[in-house]
Amino acid sequence: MTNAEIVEKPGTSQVSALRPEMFAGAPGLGEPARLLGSECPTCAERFFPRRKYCAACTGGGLNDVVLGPEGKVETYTIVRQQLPGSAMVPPYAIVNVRLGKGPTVQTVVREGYDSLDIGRAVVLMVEPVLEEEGQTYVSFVARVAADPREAK
Amino acid sequence: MRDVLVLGAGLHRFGRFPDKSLQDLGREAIENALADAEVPFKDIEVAYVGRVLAGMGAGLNVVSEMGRTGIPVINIEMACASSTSAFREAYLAIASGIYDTALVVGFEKMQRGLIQISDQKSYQTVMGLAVMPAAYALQAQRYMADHEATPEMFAQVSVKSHRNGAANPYAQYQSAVTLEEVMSSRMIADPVTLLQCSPTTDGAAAVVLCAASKAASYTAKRSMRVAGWATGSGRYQPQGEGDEGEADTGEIGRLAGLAFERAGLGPKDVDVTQVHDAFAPGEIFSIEGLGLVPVGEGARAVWEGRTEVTGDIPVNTDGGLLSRGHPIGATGCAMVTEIFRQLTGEAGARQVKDGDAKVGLIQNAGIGGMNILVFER
Repeated sequence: MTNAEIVEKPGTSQVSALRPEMFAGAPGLGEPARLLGSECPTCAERFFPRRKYCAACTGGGLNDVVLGPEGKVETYTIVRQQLPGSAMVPPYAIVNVRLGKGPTVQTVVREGYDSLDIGRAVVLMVEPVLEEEGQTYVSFVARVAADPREAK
Repeated sequence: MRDVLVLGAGLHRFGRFPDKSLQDLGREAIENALADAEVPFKDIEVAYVGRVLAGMGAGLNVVSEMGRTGIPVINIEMACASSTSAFREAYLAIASGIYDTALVVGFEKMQRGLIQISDQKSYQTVMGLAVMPAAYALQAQRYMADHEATPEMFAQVSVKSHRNGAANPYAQYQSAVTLEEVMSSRMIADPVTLLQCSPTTDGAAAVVLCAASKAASYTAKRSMRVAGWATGSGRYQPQGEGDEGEADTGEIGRLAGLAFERAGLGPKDVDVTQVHDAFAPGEIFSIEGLGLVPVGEGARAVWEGRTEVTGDIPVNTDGGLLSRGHPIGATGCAMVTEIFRQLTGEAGARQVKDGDAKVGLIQNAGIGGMNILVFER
């Protein structure tokens, strides 16, 4: 992990991204998430995380594209059983979130998952997901948008 | 390509056998398959082994229990579809004329609890995403939004499977369950409850294959022919158009079409089917993908009893993954074994179509791909 990928939060322990390469720039704790994906110059298909070659047409030379933070729920489920090794404590929701023209990304909703519904607007946010040896790791999670019409 | 026949099949009972080794499980399945085929082990020219969790060289460790004849023993891994992959390789080797007889073996010993599909330290695990039942639950939630289906319809798959398992002496679970019991069992990932999840299992299964032109040298009175096959690794589905109005059968449909084309048969010809019901909703998605019912009508078909042993499209007559059990490396060969019992009229209380089943179909999916197999008596 390089310094450029670490964000300091005043008065707390050091904060780093669980997977820094997933973000466009340094992720800011509590801020909307801007994800770094790829777009195929040949067929326009979009991917997250980044790839070297297009999964759809096999073309190369994919361009970086910034994705999020707004999307809508394609489907979701509520997980009730602890996955060994996971920092997520049930119950929590797994959501497939469609970001504009794509792609669909998968993440979790930890609070307010009762109001989840297919088609519901969500916002991807940078939040702490793991504390390990005095280190806080952030990633992107989804939050149900205040206004369901926020979806783009 | 030459015609290839299945001459025999056999299992070690599926269940939990902490005091038995892989060799114990595998040897018994091989003994049963060879006896069923009336083929001595010394005539086997090659062995293909489906296994996932066992360490290096596990295939030889098991097969050599029967003797050290120096034959190639080939280990194959495609997660839950490992032993149908092994079966396909054995079929292709015989069909192309390289060998006349082959043994296919699948075995597994598993831990209790949620299967670990991703490394303990991986992003998918830390984020709580690598939850296998959730993968089916996500599809099930979407299915209910798109079609007229209820959680009870998914649960009914498990009721049916357990009823079939109760008639299968090799099944891990041999007792029926009620719809209420399935619905009120612990919720794992909405709408999938505990009794809609396949168990972790110890078990083994084996199948004997032979070139049709050489089969007369064996005394077995019955066989089934490998009529069609298809394998794929999961083609990327472009998302550019969004998910509005989607009604295609996806990767299962593409591969089933290829397998049926090779067989010169179609979904309407199928008398009995084995599908990959690792979680109950899987049966519904699979029968739609295979073309046995139109997209959106699978849940209703299950609810109306069409996939029962007595129905017009019987599915997972041996209890399926849910009740027969799912020792991941052995599951594919167990599917072949059940189709063999059905097409040879030896399925006893589970027998479909009054013993007159002619065409059997298998769909076995694993992380890494899917195998479709079509058999004809």
